[in-house]
Amino acid sequence: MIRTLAILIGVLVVLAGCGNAQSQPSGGTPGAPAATASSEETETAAESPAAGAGGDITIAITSEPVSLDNGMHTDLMSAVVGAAVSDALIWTGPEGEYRPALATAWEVGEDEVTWTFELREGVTFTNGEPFNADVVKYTIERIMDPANESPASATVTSRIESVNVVDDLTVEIVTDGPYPGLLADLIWPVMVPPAYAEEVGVDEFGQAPIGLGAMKFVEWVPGSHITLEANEDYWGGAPAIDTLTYRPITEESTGLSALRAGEVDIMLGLSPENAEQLEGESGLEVEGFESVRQVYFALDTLNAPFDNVLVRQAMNHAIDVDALIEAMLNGRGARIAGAFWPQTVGFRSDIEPYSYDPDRARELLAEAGYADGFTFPLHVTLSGEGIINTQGLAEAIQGYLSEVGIQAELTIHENATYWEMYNAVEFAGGGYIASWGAGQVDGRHLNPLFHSETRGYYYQNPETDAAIIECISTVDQTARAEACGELQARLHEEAPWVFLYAQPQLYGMAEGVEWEGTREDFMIHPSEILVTE
Amino acid sequence: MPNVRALAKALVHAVIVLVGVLAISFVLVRLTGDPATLMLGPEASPADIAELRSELGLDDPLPVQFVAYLSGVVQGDFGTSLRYHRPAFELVVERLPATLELTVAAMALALLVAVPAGMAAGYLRGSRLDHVAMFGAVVGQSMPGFWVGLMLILIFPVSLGVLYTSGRGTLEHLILPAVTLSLFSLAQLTRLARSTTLEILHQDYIRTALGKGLAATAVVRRHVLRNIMIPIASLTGVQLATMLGGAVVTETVFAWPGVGHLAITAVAARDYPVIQATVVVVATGVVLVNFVVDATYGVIDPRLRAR
Repeated sequence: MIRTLAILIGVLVVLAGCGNAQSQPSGGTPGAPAATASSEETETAAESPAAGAGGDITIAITSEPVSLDNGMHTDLMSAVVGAAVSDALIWTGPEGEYRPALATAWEVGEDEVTWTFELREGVTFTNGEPFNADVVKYTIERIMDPANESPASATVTSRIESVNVVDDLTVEIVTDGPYPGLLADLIWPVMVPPAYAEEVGVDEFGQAPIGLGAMKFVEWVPGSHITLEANEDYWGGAPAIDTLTYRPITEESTGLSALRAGEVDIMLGLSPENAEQLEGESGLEVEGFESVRQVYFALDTLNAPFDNVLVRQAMNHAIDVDALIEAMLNGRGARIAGAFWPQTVGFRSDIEPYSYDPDRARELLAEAGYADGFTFPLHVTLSGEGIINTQGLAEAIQGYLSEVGIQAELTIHENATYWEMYNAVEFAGGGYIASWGAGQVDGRHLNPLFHSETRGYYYQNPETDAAIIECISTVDQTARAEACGELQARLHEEAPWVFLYAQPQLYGMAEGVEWEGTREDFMIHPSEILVTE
Repeated sequence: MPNVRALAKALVHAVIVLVGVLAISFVLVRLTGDPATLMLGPEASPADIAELRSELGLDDPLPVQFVAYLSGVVQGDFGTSLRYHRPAFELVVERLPATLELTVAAMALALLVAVPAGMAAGYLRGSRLDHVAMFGAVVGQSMPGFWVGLMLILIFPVSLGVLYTSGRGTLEHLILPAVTLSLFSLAQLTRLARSTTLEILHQDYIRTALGKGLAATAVVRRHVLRNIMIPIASLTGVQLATMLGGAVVTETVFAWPGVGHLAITAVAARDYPVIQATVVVVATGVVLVNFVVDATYGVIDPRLRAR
């Protein structure tokens, strides 16, 4: 800690870009600029109040948060900030594993619905309120309370039946049926101090939250920035940084410039195209984690021609997904087989994605009675879906399909119209390109995507329904992994989609800032950000 | 008393304009898509969507929705933002100072540069200065704002290490966005200042003034400057409206926390209440500016006062 602090004093001003527009010397040899800069800047750094100078980090986020009360929204950028101010019961680790946060241990009872959580002792909110079982009960019930109209209640707490206080540091959460996904859900709601939350009400709490996280809320200037400062009494140890400022910069090129000019230290939402460019520049690094947004090309399996599984498999064989990954993502994506991310419970690496094999595709089409091919409408929307280069992707797909005699008629819709048509089952007889991102890749997402009763507009299969239920409600971990693996194999075989790829989540960083964001829940834990050199 | 009548007439006119703007924006925004679908995302079931639609009052016929909306607006209630869950009007108002700061700075810059440059170009017609000024005006008028903004960012903060790429705070933060926003109006105003100067210089009374031995500087100050102020003032009014529109782009490029930036986010999220509140606030601003411009004619032009 002390060592980090001492080193920081020298390097920080330049690297952390704490307000003066010092740009990184461009065009120098890698490594050299930082060294010169540090000696030049020592004086400046010494002038600033050095006490506890652990660094001021600025992060460019891609949109303005809607609220910092993570129980009251489902917005990713908001959650990133909210999770710095307070903690949840559970965290995910770099490999997607569950780690103890405010809950130190948990187990599920024999009834498979009662989960018992042991809570961390001696934790207090920054306003002095103690953390205990009552707080957990309050936080979760506050989300479930219909009066608060929380959008998070539809996802995060939808399976929770009740929360019971066992003793001061033990809490019981009962689900409405066997549901191992509870752990994944509990990553989202961060703890809320009951007295303060009651005093200010839901709306104001979201504007100026109090938590027990690594950082304390300082100010939120709408549209401009949100500033947090270190919580010296943090239960996990005071963070290495002094302040953390989030700046919403929606325009990617501006965010990039801000990073290059040293105004921000970490820039989220970097596109693969720009990552390529940034990688060669001195003083900057590109980091990222894969598999958070899965791009797929879904087919209407309820009507001809895609009601025939052979046709669907032929579609999968007709498209060279590896080449698409190279072209759309500069090779930075991961192929998907059977709608499962590698981190999804029970993921089976032995299920090979469909090979690119146009001859096989033609054979399958002939077998299905479509030797001469067919024409179908391909629906896409260019904005709002978070897909990198949708149009390029759609056109490439169109090209591949025409090679095997299938003509895709590309129709481009405005985002809202697209979803209206989707919901009105107007994509019947065609296909559509969409994407799916999940905060937690627990397998829960397969329910809304493939279960007949939730969204069976374009795919219905009772056996798949049963397999989904098996995967999301088997509590025993080994049995569950097996059930989910079965489901993956099944989806792969059924091919309701042309499985494409997972887009990477990339971010640019100033050299000397260290943050391992390799996690799919996207949370930036301030205690993991370091300034080194 | 004629002034009071004129004022009342102008006010009624302003109200009609505002209601018209409201109605048009209300209909247009609703033509483009259903916010319930967008808000809930692909995971939502049809039942969820239907529930949200009725909650938001989207099930009512449009005229009913509009009347309900209008009666809210009259009481200062523009509805609650679908995205931020806060009063839409409050969201717009808290960002207004940033937009005003940017627009006023850009307009001041445009006027301070355009009037002297245009006058000098007109006075010294055919000179090198004239050519440079006119070339600059053509360039300024034809370059798209977002491109200029990106170029300025690349040149100053990124390459030279001066000024800021984005954000609001100090005067230094203001320079690049203000320059970007001012360029188009600057070009227009320069051309107008030049052509008006040329026109005035050909008037008989100027020839008389020069003939009776009045110094050229005095002619420019007393006759030219005074006379070009009227067209400049009316163009300034028009340009301010253009600038408020241009601010949407400029604010997005420079991550400037103003109304324009808010509007872009609101459009993307189908945040109807915020879009409408923005339109109303900006339209009110434009109406007000025109009002003020009309009023200043009297101050600038004594002939109008006498009437």
